[in-house]
Amino acid sequence: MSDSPFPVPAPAAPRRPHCAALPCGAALSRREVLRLIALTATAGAAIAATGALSRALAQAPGRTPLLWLNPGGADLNLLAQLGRQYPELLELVSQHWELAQWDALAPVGFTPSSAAAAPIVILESYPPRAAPPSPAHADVQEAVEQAKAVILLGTDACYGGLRHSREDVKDLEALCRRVKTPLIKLPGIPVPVQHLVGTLAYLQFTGFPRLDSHLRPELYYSTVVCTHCERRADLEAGRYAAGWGERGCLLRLGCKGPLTHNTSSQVRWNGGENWCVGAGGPCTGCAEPGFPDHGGLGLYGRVPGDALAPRSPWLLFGDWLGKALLGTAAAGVGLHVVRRWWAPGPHRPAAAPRRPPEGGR
Amino acid sequence: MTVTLHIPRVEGGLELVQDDQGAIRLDTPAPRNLEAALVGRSALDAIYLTQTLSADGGISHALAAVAAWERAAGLTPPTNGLLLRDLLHALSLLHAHARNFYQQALLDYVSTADLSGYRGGWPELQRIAKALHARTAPAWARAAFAHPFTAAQVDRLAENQLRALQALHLLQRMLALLGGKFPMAMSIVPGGSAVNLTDALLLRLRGYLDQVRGLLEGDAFEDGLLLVGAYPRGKTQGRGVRGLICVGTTGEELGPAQSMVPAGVYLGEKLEPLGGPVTESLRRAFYRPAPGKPPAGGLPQAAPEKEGAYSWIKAPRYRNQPMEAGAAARLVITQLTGSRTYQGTLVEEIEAAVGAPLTAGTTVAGRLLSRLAEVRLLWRRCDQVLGQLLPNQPTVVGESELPRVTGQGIGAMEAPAGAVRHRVAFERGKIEAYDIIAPSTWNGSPQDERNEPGSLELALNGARLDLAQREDRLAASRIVHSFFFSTTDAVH
Repeated sequence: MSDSPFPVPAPAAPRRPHCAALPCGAALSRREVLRLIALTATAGAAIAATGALSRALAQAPGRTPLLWLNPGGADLNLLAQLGRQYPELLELVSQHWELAQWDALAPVGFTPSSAAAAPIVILESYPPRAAPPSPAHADVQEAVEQAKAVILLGTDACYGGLRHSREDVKDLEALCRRVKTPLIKLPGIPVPVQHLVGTLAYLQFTGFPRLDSHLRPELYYSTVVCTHCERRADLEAGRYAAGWGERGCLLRLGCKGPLTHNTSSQVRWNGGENWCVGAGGPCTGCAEPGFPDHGGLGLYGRVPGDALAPRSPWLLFGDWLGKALLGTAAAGVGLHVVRRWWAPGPHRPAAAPRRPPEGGR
Repeated sequence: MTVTLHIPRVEGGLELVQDDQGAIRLDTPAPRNLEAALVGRSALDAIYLTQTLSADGGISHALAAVAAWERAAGLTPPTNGLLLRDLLHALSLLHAHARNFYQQALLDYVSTADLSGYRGGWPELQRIAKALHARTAPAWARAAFAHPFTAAQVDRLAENQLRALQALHLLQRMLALLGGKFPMAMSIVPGGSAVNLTDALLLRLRGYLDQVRGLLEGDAFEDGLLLVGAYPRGKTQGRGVRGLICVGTTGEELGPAQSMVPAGVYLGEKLEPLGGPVTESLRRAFYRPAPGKPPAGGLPQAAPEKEGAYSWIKAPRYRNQPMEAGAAARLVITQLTGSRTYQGTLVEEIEAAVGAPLTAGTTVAGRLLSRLAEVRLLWRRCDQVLGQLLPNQPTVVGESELPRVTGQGIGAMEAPAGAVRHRVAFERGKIEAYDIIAPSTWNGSPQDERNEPGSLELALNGARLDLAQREDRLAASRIVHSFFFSTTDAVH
């Protein structure tokens, strides 16, 4: 007991929540869960909210079983999730994550963890397209057929491009459509842990998250990285870093911030410790479907000026519109003045015939 | 009858296949051709994309990739930049060693189920233990096997495992401070490191390092000795090839006294400088040779139906000899070069525990203990580098716009599992050809023209295992994990 470097609470004491403001424990109301989920996408409270949600997930009665399959990929995402920032996540893992490769002597392949409840299947990789489908294909298909929802974890699993081909991804999407299993994509290299926990909490407690056109949860993938970037002021002031390691906006070093939708600039990675731009590395746009080429720009190619322009026509043509309005107004005023001076009319100010005769009355 | 065994906790998945004659072969998924995907891209892309090969060795791959470019472009980073890279590298090795021992190897000796039978006073572990005993616990948590440890020893291992998890988290934070995020380092750029090196950053790193040291130091090596003492078979089982290779770490540029590990080869009972030809044999691999001479002549073509082939791993050879790479090779070569005095005692300690010299072919126990001994050297290195870094001084030289270099470059770096070598041909600044030899390629290589297998295959076949037997399955798993084998690294 004395060996533990962590404070040991008295055995009888009730478990304290992480933060007095954040309700913990299994008995969360729907409103509280929604609030916590919303907090996982914000700076500051994301870490605490993720911890509270993982605890709630680990303790919730009637949990959905989880199944994590990674039959050929690197452990990039697994490692990023398994830090000890969230001990409840570990508890969750130990109780319910059927990590397909964990057991010392486990047989290969998929065994449903529970016949009663449909699992949430997390796919970090899947077998590539092959002419005669391999046994691994059958495993994945069986898992997807039984699943309540499928979560694709990591950029490569979501869009292909590097280890998975784009056709592999299309195959998987077609499979999900055929067996009517909803699909959620969580891109990122690696996927921030709060995205996964928040999505799992959505599925467990409140239903299904709102997705964007690329099937990503809107909560995490709707804000452009530049919005909350620590170097935003440099962008607005036009201070651009010209070389590596310099201060200033990294746009000219190939930063894909303007094209990338993610929470990285707010929530960051590894318990909020740092993110790409914080270490002087430009954003590579790893959460976008165009990764790694971004439609011919290249991983570190400079984003052209017109890509930075706003999308709304009101803003896009705002300048013209303003000028046109100003011009119209000026023309109107001018016309008015001219008319007042030249056009005959009852209101002409100093026209001679209208002047009252001197000495009248 | 052919027996197949899935080895758990191996990155990318690995199956061992034993045929009727008892020969064991490695069965891996087909490659995803990263080398081909890099052709036509910029050197910067290679630094980023090769990191996705492996979570543990990724940073070493990035450092090898950037070194290859700098060699071709004739660029030398400033001292600060090299030291920052070296710190990043040392921390990634620490992280990998702790993960390999506590999350991969340890579970071959004590099952998760036994570790969860925890009776100590650590409330968090009690909670996890309770969860693992719950009726809903998955199969992997309920499979137990016999072990020779006392209850107190198992409790200690369980606590150290959780401590190591805490240490991993802190190490990930340190790596994020230096690289932006873990496991991808975004700060490694041609000419140095893009990190803004401030006093505040150094203070935070120092604080984290002290915490990690409190969690890991001493415990890991003692836990290793406990496992080795309890499983005497490991001292002789899994003997690999006699040749050892080490390509050195960052710091060679700063002078030989700076580098943590010097480059060298132990071959034919003697040490020689790394300079001989490195070739890749395709005799038993599912590839046909490229039309020209690699790397510029194109890449070997995949040929899944090739006669006589059985592996997706190519067979790199140094002077036509198979080599073993890894922490044991690093320790032996550093000791033999005599450039470091403090390593001698560690090697003696390991050899006393194993009962044979490491140069006589490393075994499961030798590899396990070498990795844990290296953890002690890494503390020393991290301390040293933190003291040498100069805050607010430049960390990078050169332009952000890469020059249009034409030529070849070789970058080498020691990854957690052993030697990484990137050989790159550039054509007007773009990659024309890329050739990666990863540590798991050295260790997991199939037979070559002279029918000599790589180290892992030799170790598995030399142990005379019957994969149908439960005890031998565990032994096979121990051998694989002692190499820190990663399939995604080996087959790229």
